[in-house]
Amino acid sequence: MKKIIALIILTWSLLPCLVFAQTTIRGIVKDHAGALPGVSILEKDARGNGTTTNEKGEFQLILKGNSKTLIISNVGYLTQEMDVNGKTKINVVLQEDATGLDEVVVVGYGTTKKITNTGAVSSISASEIRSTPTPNIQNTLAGRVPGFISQQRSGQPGQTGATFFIRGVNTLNSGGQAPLIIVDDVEYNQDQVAQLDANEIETFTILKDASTTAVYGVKGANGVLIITTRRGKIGRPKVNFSSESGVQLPFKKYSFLGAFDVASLYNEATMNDAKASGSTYVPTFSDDDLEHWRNKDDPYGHPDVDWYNEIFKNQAYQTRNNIDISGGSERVKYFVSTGYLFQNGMLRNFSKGTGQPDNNYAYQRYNFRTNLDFQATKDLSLRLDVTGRIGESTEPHMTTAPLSTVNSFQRLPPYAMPIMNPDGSYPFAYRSRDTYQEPSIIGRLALQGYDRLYRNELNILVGGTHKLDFITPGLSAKTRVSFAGDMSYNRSLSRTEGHIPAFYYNPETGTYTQHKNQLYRLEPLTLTADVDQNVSRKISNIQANLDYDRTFGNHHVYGLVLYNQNQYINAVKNEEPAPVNFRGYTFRAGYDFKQRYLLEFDGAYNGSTRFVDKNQYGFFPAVSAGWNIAEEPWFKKNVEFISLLKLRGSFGIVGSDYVTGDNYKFEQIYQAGASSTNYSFGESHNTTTTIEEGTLGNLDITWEKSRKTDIGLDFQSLDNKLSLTVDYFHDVRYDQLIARGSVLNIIGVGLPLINLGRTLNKGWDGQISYHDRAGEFDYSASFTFSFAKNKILYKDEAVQRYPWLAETGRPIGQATGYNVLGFFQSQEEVDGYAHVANATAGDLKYEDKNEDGVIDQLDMVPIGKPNLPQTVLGTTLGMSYKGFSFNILFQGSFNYSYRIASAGIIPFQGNLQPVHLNRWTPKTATTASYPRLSAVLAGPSSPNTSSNFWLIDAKYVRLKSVDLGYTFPNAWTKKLKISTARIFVSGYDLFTWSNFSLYQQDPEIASSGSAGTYPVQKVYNLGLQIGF
Amino acid sequence: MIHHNYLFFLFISISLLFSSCVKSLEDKPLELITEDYLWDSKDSLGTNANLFLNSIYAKLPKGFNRIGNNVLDAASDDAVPTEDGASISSFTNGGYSALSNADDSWQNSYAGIRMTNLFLQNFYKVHLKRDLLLEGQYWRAENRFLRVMFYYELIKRYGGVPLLGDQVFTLSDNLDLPRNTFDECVDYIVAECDAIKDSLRIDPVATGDYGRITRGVALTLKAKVLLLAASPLNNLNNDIDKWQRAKNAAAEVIALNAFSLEPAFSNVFTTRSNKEVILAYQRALTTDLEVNNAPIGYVSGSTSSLGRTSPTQELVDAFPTIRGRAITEDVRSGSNPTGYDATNPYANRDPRLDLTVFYNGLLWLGRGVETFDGGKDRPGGAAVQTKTGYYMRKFLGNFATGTAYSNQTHNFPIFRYADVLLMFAEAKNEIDGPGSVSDSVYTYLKAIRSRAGIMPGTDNNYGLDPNLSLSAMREAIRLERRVELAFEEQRFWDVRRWKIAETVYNKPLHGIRITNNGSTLNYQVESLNIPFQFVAPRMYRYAIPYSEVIKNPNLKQNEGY
Repeated sequence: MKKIIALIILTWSLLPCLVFAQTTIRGIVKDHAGALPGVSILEKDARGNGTTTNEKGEFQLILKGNSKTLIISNVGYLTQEMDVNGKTKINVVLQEDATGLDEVVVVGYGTTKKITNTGAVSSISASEIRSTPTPNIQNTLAGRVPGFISQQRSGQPGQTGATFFIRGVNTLNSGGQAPLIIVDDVEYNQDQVAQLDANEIETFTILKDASTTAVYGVKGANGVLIITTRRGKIGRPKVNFSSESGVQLPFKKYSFLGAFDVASLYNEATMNDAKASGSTYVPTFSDDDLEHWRNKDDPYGHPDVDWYNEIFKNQAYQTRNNIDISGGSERVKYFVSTGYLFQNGMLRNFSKGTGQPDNNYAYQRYNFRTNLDFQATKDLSLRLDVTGRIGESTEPHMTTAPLSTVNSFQRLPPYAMPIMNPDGSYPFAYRSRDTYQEPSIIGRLALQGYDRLYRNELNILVGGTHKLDFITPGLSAKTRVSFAGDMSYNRSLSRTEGHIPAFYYNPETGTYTQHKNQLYRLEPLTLTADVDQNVSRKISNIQANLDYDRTFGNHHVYGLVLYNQNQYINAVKNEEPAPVNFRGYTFRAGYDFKQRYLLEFDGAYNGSTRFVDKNQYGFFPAVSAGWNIAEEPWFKKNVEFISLLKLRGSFGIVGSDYVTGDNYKFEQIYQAGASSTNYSFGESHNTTTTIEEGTLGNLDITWEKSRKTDIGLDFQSLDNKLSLTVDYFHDVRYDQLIARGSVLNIIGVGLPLINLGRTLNKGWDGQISYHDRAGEFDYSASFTFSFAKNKILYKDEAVQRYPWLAETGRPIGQATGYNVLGFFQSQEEVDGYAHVANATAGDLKYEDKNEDGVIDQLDMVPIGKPNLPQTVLGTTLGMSYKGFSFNILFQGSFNYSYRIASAGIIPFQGNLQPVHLNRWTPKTATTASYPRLSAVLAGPSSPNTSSNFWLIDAKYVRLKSVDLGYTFPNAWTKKLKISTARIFVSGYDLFTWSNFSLYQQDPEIASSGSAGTYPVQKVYNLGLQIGF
Repeated sequence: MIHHNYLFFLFISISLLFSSCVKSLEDKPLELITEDYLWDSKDSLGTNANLFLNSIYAKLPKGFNRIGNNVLDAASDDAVPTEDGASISSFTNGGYSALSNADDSWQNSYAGIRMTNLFLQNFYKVHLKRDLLLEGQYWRAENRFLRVMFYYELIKRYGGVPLLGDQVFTLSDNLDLPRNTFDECVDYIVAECDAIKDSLRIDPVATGDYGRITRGVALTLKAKVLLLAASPLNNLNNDIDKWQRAKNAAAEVIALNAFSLEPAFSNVFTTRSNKEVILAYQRALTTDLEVNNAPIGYVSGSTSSLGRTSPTQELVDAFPTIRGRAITEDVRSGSNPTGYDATNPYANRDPRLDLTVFYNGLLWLGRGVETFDGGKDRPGGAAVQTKTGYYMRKFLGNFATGTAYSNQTHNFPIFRYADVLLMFAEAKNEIDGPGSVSDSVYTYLKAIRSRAGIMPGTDNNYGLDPNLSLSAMREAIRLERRVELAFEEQRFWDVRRWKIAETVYNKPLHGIRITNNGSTLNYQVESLNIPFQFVAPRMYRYAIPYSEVIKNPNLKQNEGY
């Protein structure tokens, strides 16, 4: 830090100023709507002589050269040259540029223009998604940005951020699949992106091919997401306030069978099992029991509770509020923003009025950001960005999450206990299995307290840009120093699991029996901290670069040389390990002729301490080229209606320095043993430590590399109403660090990682959009598509006995399991078939693939598809008329698979769901859609056994976001002395169409995900936005 | 000039960047333990090498509820797992294969072998101070013992396995080794035991060295291995010479005169210091065995007991009466008031029964065990509860009274003297026959029965018939092993080495169904209906893991897999 401060003081103290007296031109720049601040005014042929307009659109420039011509340019407008010979005051009206070809595209360490860009880049302006009511900005990018593939795994407040990938995944290292994320030149992780507030953000850009990611060298192989934040613009201070509130509702309400059904089916299941194993059947529930449940006439002796509805609310509240101020003069520009977000959980408040804390799930977050730009001198600008986030997420203190408990038959069948005892005391699960005779879930939610995770982040970035036109025009130097700190810690105010008084009430005798925890009174809450949750992450980063960009007539050349040094420290559980250090040199050199022929070289020479000295540095080059056919004179002459037709291609090598377990895997480390394995000598036990040999080292480990090829086409036509971008990509990822699979266990030690794996990922992505206007009616439609399919080319594995067991050739992460031929329809069929223990009629019939008469792992074949969608499609429709605007996004994911395990589906491990009523019985043999019931958890048809019966070949389409807004007419707002006012209603994940009925869970759930996953919530939202 | 100032700014800032900050953190993690640290020549106390040795000791067989919380003998005819679908069930429903084996020790044993070789290869680097040189010799010999102990664990399960010698493999070595024969492995183990026996500590050891490998331990292993080699499974032609070697080896242990039977049977399992245990897995004091195995109705503090193991009626019936006679024979009558009474079946029995099995009425935590139908320990309904009417009592502390368990010594007996005596008796019987009642075959059996608390009887034969035939004595010894060594991971291997598994397993096992008719209890033996399949000859050996066989074309799989 001291260094950073010293640098700032130094730069400020060196602010020189110099004025020459010459001809002065004054002027004002406007467009059809009014004055334009921030327009760039340059004197032609006088190197480095220029200015920008102030907030009133005025400028003043002293001419130095001989051309007496000004170049007036602004993003989104056609550039004008104006002869000012003999004039002292001018008026300029700029025309808007309809083609958008000069639009700025963000790329690594800089920007380029849409027309001259040769890489595969997709971007979106944050203003398009700002009103989507989700706390995590990445949740709404899939379907809007081609190549962006994401899955939102949870709806729990504070954990709703979707995991995302760029063009799918292409490495066998599951931890090394995440894209690099750069927010204002600072590296973030996915968790941190989830904390950002949409209001602070200007653009999202994803870099997909070698030419754009090569500058990030060893970190670019998974693609790069670049987020830029909003900065102040010259103009009077603008205050913007927005507030929105909404309700969250579960995507789907769970439904469970009642006690009568459950008890009858349990008897049926045990009867089935007795038949299968040949033992005698003793009904667990008597006819008398069943009769009580049928008539619901004994609420205490034979309770029948719908726990899901007792515990969860129908809706939960959320709100988001932001205020920001931006503006600036020639000297200082500022953007200051702060935001507050609150998201409540869906548990009912059982502790109300008891003086106990509210233990509901909740998340709240404060965001703030200050982005400042100082024009210190004509040539030197400085920037200071300070941003921070304070987050707080709460969950009830329960060993097993409430939804898991509700799903679990063992813990909480519908007849486990009444909601409350008649005397107002809490009951316990008297009728559950012995180990799960837990005190009432309602009591535990009311009294067991909460766990809270605090998370504080602070990022500071200081930078300077110095125009070096005095050396040569077009040259500038930039430096950036940043520090990012991210700390989280846990606070728990709680009681030990199950330590609340609970009694079983026997209505026949009217007596109360105490729970085995022997508690009559409540123990005090305990304040603890969970060290495991403590995380402290620090990233310090230093960058310095030289930029060059100049046009000589028809020739445009540009270049970049950059030095980058990064130190990353990730401390968990209060232990701070040695840092991961990274150092890199990056260059870029590009050339274009009349924007027609484009050529660019990029490269990075990067080193990482994850590898030993000799392998520390890697060189990652890329080349790309483009041909703007529409810029050819012959084309312009003959095909006027096409304004852009660009062919581009790139090829290069990028890397990934990801190593499982982070650091120093090249060394063999001896492990101090865990105390549980202690063997001690002597008469009394003394805990002794042990030292064990750790995994072998491998001094040769080095980068994982990706050879990326991309061919793309950009097209615009019909007065730029129609545009199309499409890219084909082919990435071979090689030298992947994997553990060898062909080494015998008699080696007796863990194997080191070795650069062996090779995978291929290829596919298409792109976007077609159309926009037009009919009078005051604007409308647009856009369709995005992403297809990515991967395959394991080489993975060191032993030669399997059967070809279907080999993983090579399969997609990464594809499941294996039995191929189900149907249900056994009779005992004879079972007896005549390969042996499966305890199988009987109604069980799943697995294919005996190797025909050896035994069903075992050797019969397991690849089934379904990986869990990550291979196809993501999105359609955005937008329209506006006068003050009204309407936007809608449909997003669909296809070609992926998942299955649910454990209590989510297994009968009597999980509570029974309507799907279990369709079980196989001799009567329903032809119509059954579920195997015969069994009370044995590992029974022959158990969903825990992987087969294609339980694996859903899934797809879904979601109405991901809707936004209907109305901006009040200026005439009204002026009276209230405000400049803009807009109200809107919006929604998130409102409808879902999917293709499965077996499971009740959300289609974006992780495969084999547990039943306890907090479901994704849909949100209805109402908001107001006011600008002053 | 101004421009120079600008350059100065650039120069300063760039140099600042490149010189980088003062290091607040070291470049490399220095807290990690590397090989140099472990075999540091200046470590004259051998502290680090000793810590490494500790971790090898920790790989010794741990016993108890080790297979999915079940004891190995829940896969013999002595017990069944209480819970349905327990992984141990795979042993008895034909489910162990090359693909899945809940008791696969291939990887663990070879990991242990590697560690011992690593120790032997590197220990010379540590320069011990003079008065520790003898200690260093012990450590080296202990390592050599541990190495062959791991081989013993392997050959018990798989038959002959690849012998690695002293080699510590690297990735560039050829690992495609063929299997050595069973006899080669036995010879190797025996030769090693012989080679190291004089370099080990002498029994009895100082209290501070309890748990160390001693001369007695090495000799016991030698006896165990030779008896395994002489047993019908591995001695197809009944080569009497093999029995002879086994007998001599057992005699060597006895001749040490360092061990004896503890006066009280209950003391053997809950006392760290006793004369009978030759080697036990030294653990911290715990209540885990009580919690895992005591009947389900008992709550210690707020912890429910889990009753994982359900001993069979077959085991209970194997316990003789207090007079040492079989229950079928020594039936209670007017003239024989201490005989077996089917209406009060647990009275007047071999006292070891009370220390091996929880039966209905046995006192525990201040109340009698209730395994009658509807009793606290067999309530019926969906709760996981005994399948047989019994729970496992062996190894547990003495908690007949009191309200909660307290931490106990729970060291798994790997070798103990009673086993040695029975091994000797078994081998001698095969060679010389039972001999007279004063011959050692009889004497050792009598010694064990006497210690157990069986009444000597007027003939002082503890219920043993004089003049038993060789095969009748063989049965008597097998019965004694079953009763004395129940749940010590002996029966499971014994039925295999005697090659009787196919008859022991492939018939239904039994439990007791007790109904409470007001004042009287009605005992009814019932069949368990639990499939107990043993496919001979395949299941006499485990399969070598599939993952290993496919990697090595020279590794021949056992027959039938």
